[in-house]
Amino acid sequence: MTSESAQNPAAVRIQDLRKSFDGSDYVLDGVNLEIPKGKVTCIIGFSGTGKSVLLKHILGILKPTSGTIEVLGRNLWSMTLDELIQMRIRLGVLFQYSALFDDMTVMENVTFPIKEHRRQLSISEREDIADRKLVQVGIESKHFRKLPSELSGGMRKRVGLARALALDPDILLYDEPTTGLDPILTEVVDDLIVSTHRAHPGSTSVVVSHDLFAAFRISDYIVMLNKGGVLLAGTPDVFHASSDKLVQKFLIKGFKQG
Amino acid sequence: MIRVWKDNRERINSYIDGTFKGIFDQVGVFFFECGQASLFFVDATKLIFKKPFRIEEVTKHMEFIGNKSVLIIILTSLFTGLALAYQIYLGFKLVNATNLVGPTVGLGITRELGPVLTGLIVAARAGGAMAARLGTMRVSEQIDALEVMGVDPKQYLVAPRIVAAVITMPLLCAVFDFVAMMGAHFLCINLMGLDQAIFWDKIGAWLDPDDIYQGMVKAAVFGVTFAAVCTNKGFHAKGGAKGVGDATNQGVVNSMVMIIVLNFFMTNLIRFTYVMLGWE
Repeated sequence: MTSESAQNPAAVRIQDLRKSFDGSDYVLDGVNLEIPKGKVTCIIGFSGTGKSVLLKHILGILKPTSGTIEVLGRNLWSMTLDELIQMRIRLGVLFQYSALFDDMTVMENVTFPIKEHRRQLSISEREDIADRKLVQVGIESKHFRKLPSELSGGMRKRVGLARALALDPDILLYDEPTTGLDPILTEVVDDLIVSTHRAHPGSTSVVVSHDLFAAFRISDYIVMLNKGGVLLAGTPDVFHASSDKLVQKFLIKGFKQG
Repeated sequence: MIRVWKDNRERINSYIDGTFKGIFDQVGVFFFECGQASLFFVDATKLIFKKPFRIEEVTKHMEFIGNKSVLIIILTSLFTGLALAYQIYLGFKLVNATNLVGPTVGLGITRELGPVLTGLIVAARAGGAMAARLGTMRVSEQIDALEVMGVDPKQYLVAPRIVAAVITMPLLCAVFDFVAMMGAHFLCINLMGLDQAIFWDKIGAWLDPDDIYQGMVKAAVFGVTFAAVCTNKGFHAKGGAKGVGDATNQGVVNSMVMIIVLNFFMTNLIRFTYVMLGWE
């Protein structure tokens, strides 16, 4: 990890990424991007600019039409399947609608990745780890045996986050974590992202969001996508100082809505 | 008059063209989907032998496909046996050959109706549930979640279902055969007054264990068929609730058509194999 960090200060490096689903219309059209290690990076942009598609490329779920994606210094698409699986263990994801397994309890959901990848651990050891992660995200033990359908939206997000944290990932990715939540819960989730990041020193957080307030509140680094490419990337101050009309329009509209 | 006739002829021709085009398109789509399901099946089958072995998942799906289908299989097989025996009894009575009702029902059940009806019933019940489950998992990103957790979704979700279907279908077929024969026995002996000794004696003379095995082999193949078709449909579902509904519908319909088509070819293949090996 240490030598890797020294050689690759970027957690994710994307070069000339292009993606088309139908062969003609490009959702991502030449994305060049570096996501810094150890920081909270927020990817923002208007709807339909390819934020979630970009996230799926970072996760290796979608294969690019062209271009390269390096995660933690390794090119995702030059790896064997087993290497890709090992890489994915180093990534944790909180999906937009949590994507909890609906036939498993809260505890089973969080122990699932541990059971899959730490087979040497006993059931009680797995449950101890899951217990700690659930408490860390604020889930009380009385909810551990409940099914996801018995939880509120906010609690499902927390359980999803606990599951993403189960294997202590190096990069934690959030896909629209506050979509569909009320303003108070949105703030709670934002705080959770920051506190989780602080609780895991050295880890990298990548948040895909259209919520400008959240982006400026929690991010160290912001990337704005537009028309399949990166319009602007930098610290929040860089955005405030930008004279780009589209950036200004997005900021004004976003803050007005907020 | 001639002009009207010409107009009508052109309209009729265009209807016929449209109808045939529709049929050929459907046939094309059906064969395309057969190919897609076969490739999907090959992919998933390779993963059966890859570690970690999903024994727990296989047993869970065996319970769902097998145990939970037993009641419906018993019910349908009982009435199939009764109805078939009655029709054959009525026909054979005309030619004074009621002694042959037992073996005729037995051959029909073990070789054809047992495996085919078991396949159709389980495809509708368990196959539909498989497509719906996987489709829901796909549209709610649960399959993506598995993938990013470093778990191969085909190995975790598809391969155990195929294995479970292959193991349980011959057993369900055996249950079907047994209960259907009991139904036929009840009708022939208790309701139609045939001689019990002759009924069983003729069955023993005409029916081979091979007939039962043939049916069980067919049932295993039908198990693979509906499991591969339905999981493939569910796995690739897209478009929310409508997509899940479409995947379930297409999975069940395609499985049923494939089972009936495959049954014909398997019957011929088995006969051909027996003749080639000199077993007949």
